[in-house]
Amino acid sequence: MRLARLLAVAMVLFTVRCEASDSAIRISLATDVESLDPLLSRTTEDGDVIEQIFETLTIYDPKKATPIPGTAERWEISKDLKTYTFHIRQNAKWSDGKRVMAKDFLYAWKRMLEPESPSSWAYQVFAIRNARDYYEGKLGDFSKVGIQTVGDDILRIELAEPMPYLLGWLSHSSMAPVRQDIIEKFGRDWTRPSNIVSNGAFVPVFREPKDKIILKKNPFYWDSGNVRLDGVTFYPIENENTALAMYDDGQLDIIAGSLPVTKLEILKKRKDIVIANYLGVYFYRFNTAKEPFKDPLVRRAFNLALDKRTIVEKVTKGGQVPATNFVPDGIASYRPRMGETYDPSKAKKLLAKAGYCAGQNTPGCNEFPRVEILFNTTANHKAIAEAVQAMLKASLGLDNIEIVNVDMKTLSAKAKSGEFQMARGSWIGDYLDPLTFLGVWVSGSGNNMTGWKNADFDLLIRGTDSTVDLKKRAELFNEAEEILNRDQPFLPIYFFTRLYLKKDHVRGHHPNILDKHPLKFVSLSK
Amino acid sequence: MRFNIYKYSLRRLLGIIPVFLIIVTASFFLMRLAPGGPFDSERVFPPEVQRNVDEYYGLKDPVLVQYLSYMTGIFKGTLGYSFTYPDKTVGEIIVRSLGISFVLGITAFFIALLFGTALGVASALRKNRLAGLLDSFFVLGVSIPNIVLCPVAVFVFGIWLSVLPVAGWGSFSNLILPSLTLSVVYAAFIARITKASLSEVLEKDYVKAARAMGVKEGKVVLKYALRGSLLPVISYLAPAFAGIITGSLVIERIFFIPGLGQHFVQAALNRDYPLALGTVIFYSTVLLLLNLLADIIYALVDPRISYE
Repeated sequence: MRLARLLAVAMVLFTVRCEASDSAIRISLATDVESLDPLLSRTTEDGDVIEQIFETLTIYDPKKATPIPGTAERWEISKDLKTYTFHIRQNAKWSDGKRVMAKDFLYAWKRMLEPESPSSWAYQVFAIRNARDYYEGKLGDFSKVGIQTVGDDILRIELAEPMPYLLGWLSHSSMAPVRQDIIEKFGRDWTRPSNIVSNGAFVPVFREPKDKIILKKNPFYWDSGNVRLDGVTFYPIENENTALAMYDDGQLDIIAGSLPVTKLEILKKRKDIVIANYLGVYFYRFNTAKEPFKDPLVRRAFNLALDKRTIVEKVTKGGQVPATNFVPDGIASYRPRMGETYDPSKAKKLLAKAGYCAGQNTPGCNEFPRVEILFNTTANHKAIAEAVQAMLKASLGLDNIEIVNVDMKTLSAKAKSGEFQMARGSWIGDYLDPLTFLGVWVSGSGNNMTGWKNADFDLLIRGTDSTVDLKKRAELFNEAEEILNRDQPFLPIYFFTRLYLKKDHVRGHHPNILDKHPLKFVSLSK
Repeated sequence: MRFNIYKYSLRRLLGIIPVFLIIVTASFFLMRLAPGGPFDSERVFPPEVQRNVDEYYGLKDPVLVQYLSYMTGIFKGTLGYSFTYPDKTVGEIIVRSLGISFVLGITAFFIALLFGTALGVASALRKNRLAGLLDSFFVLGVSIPNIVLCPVAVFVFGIWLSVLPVAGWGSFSNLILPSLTLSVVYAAFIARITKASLSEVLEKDYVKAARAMGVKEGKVVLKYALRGSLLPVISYLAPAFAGIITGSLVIERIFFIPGLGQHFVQAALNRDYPLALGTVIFYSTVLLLLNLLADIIYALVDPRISYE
C-alpha cells in the first residue's frame, strides 16, 4: 500500500518520534504553555514547566511547598530581616556546562525590573530597595537597586522593609536565572529547544504550540545524580474527556489538568484519585459604586442567602470547602477570620432593612432592581451561577436575577472597566502568606475592581509590611479580614481543591496547598 | 462559443487581490472591536505592567499605524510573531500545524470522495429500497455532529474494542479514527450531490441519445452522464477541500492533534491578533484560490463549452 507508506512518511516529517524511555513521566496540563522564558511566565502552566527547566535560589518542598535550598545551598538573614545573603552552590551548572553564577540572577531580575519589561510579576519584589523606582523609570542606575553580587557566587538582597515571604517567593518561576550571553545571541528565539540553556533538572528538547512538551534529564544539573526520571512529557490536553481516555489507555501517568465535572462522582471513588486543598478562592465581585450593591446590607444579605455547602456538595462535587471569607486555611502561620454563614431569615431582615421588598410587602419598600451576574463560559461556572440564582430566589424572593455568560476576555474587560453588577472571579495565592490574598483589597489595587475602599483596612495592611513578628502580623491580618467580612465587597463561594488522577507507580509526587511538584523528586516504580 | 481559458484564469486571479485586501483589512479592524485585549486575564496586573506589555507587543501605537505596519509586513512576507507564543512566528505556527492538518485532511478528503461518489452513483442508479436506505444514511451523515460522532467512535474502537489509540498523533494508527470521522459529513454531502446531479443528467437528451445509439449502459453512465453531473460536485469540493485541510477544532481537540483548526478559534479567543489574522489570511487565500481552480475545472469539464 504505497499510499499508506507515503502518508506515514509525511506524518513522520511533521511530528517527532521520541524514543520513550521507560522512566519518562507523562503529565497532562489543562492548557498550553505560552513561553519558556521566565520573564514571560504568566499562567500556572507556564510556571509548572519553567520550574522543571530552570532552578531558582529556593525551590518548593515537595510535601509542604515551603522553601528549601535550590541553586542556593545556604543563606544568612540579617537581624533586622532586611538583608539576605545567598551562597550559590559551587557545583551548580548550566546545561552547556558553564557554572551558574550570582550575576545570572542579577541579570534575570534586572531584565524583569526594566522600565519596559513585559514581566507580569515585577511588582512582587518592590520590597527590594529602589526596585520600584527603577521599574518606574525614576532611577537610571541599576547598581543602586538592592540586588548585589559579591564575587561569582554570592547574591545579596537588600530590602527597604522586611518581606517575610521572600524565601517562598524566590521559588517562583519569574525569579529564575537566565544567561545573558544566550539571550543576547538569539534574541526572542533563545527559548527554542535548539538554543536554550537552562540550569534545572531537565532541558526542553521539543516544543510546538498545542503539541507535547518533551523534556530530557539535564546531565549538568548539580543534583542530577538524585534525579530518577529520564525525561518528562507534558501534554496540554484541553479536552478533559480526552485526557481521561488517554490516562485510562495508559498514555498518561498523571492528569494534572481538570477532570470532567460530569464524571466527578464516579472518579472520586477511584483508588488513583488525589484530592487536595488548593490555595485559592472562588467568588463574585460586587460593583460597590452602583446600586443596588452600594449598600453593604444588600451585599451581606446576598452572602447570607447562599447555602454554599449545597453548592459544593451538589453542584461542583469536587470536595471544595465552602467559603465565608477571602483567605483560605492552609497557611501555616495564619488562622483566617471566618465570615457570616448561611442564614436566610437574617438575609431577609437585612434586605428589608436596606429598604427592599424581598418578597414581603412591607409598606414603602422598593422593588429590588434587575441584577446581572456575569461569568465566563464553562459548564461549571454556569452551573454555579444557576445555583446562586436559584438560591437568591428561594431565600430572598428575588426573581429578576439574570445570569449572563461572556467569554473570558470580555469578562476581564468588563470587570476592569466597572461595567458589571456582579462578576465571577477567582484568586489563587502566589505564596504562603495572607498578603497575597488581602493585598487584592487595598484601595488602588488593580485587582480590586469593586470600587470598595477602606482607610482602616489599608492602614492595617500597610502595617504588616513593617511588622516583623509573625504573631503580630497575623493579628493585623485578622483585623483586616474582620473589616473585609463586615463590608463584604465580594461574595465568597468556596475554596478550591485540586483533583487529579495519579497512577500507582508514581512516587515522590505529593499533594500540597500550592500544587507545586518539583519533578526532580519524582520517580516511576515499575 | 469561444472561450479563452487563459484569459479567464488571469482575469479571475487578478480579481482575487482586491477581495483579499478587503478581507484582511476588515478582519484587522473587526478583531479590535471585540472587548478585551490579548493580555486581559483573571489577574489584573498593575497599569505600568499593562503599559509595558502593550508596548512590547506593539499595541501602544494608534490603530492606523499598527495597520500600516502590519500590511507592510505582509508585503515583505512576514506575518509577525504570535502574542500567545512569543518565540514563534505566525508563519512557523501555521506551516507546522498545516502540515499536520493537511495529512489528516487529504486522507479524509479522499475517503469522502471515494465513498461519497460511489454511494451517490449507486443510489442514483437503483430505485429500490436500497436507495431509500442510502438516503437515510446520507441524512444521518450530514446531521450527526463530530462532537457526538468522535467520542462514540473513540469509545467503540479505542476503549471497548481497543484496536485503535484513543488520541494522539504520530503513527499510522493515529490517522485512522480522526480521518474516518472527519470524512463522514463530507462523504454524505458528496453522495447527496452526486446522486441528485446524476439522476438529473440521466434524464437529459444527450444521454438518451447515447443510449438510443446503442452505447452500453456502463459506458453511458461513466463517459457521458458522470462527466456532466460532476459540475455541482466540483463546486462543492472547492470550499470543502479548503475546510477539510485547514483542520477541525472538534476533531483536533478530541484526538489531541496539533492541527491548524484549533488555532483559528483559540487565537481569536486569546485576542492573539497576529495569529488570528494569519489564520484568516491563510484560509481566505486557500478558499479564493480553490474557488478559482474549481471554476477553471468547471469550464474545462463542461461538455457544452468548447474552448480554445
